[in-house]
Amino acid sequence: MEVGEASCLVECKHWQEPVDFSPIAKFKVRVDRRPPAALGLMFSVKGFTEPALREAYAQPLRNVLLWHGRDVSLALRGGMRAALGAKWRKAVEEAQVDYELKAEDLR
Amino acid sequence: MIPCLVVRGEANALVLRRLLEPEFGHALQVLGTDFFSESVSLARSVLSNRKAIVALVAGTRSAELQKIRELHRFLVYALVQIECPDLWKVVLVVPDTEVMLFQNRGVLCQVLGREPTGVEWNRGQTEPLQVLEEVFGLKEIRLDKELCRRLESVDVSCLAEHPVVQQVRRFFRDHREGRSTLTL
Repeated sequence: MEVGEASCLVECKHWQEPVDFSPIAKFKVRVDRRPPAALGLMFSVKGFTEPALREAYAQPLRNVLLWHGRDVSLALRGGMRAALGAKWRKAVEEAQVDYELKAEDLR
Repeated sequence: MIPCLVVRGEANALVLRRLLEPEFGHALQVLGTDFFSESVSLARSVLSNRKAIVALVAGTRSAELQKIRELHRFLVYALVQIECPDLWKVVLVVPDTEVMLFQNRGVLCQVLGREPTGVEWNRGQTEPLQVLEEVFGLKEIRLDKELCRRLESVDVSCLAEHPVVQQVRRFFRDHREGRSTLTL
């Protein structure tokens, strides 16, 4: 998927339970096989498990952004391009791959 | 920036907001999230983005000491990556924040719309979410919405001295009065 200038690999999980680290790790491997400019966007409506976040904070998840259900809602309202820009900026500035969007980020 | 309290569940946020409002009014923002991981991410985001002090109230979902220790370590690690420990506070509730509703029969009675049975009351001390799920036949966000609807007219002021509320209140009060602490 193309968002502005960014080429993104997207994985969406509409599971009954929060996503564990295993799908994130597999997705990261797929992203790693692509050129460095490719971004990986993982969406999970039920969020992520504690071990998943623990690993995500400890392991370098370069070029992969984690999206919660509320991020998706805000992105749908405020525009995917702005949402991706805000998430990416936070990942670069603060190393926060799971930055949770707020309405003011999309203004 | 306005200090923030982050907790899983809008119903929990509503209860804590009511209990803290008399002292802090609009000088404190209480934010509820749908899921646990969102609470952690939101607390980190508020810390980094707004540069506001943050209290994260989190259910342990287990009474096992080892699991509680691991969770505490994880939450401390997650927040200390973003900011110095004197700018945030982790408050753990065993096993879920909804256990606060089971600390007073009057409150629980108003929430349920009837007297709780002995079994419900006793189980609620260790499995509050499960009891509420069974009573209302709802789960997660739907249960949360139903609890919010019922809590609208419930007087929760008798929960003001609950240890969770006390810890959070002390943290925000210390910051307001320039006495920030390094206790985790």
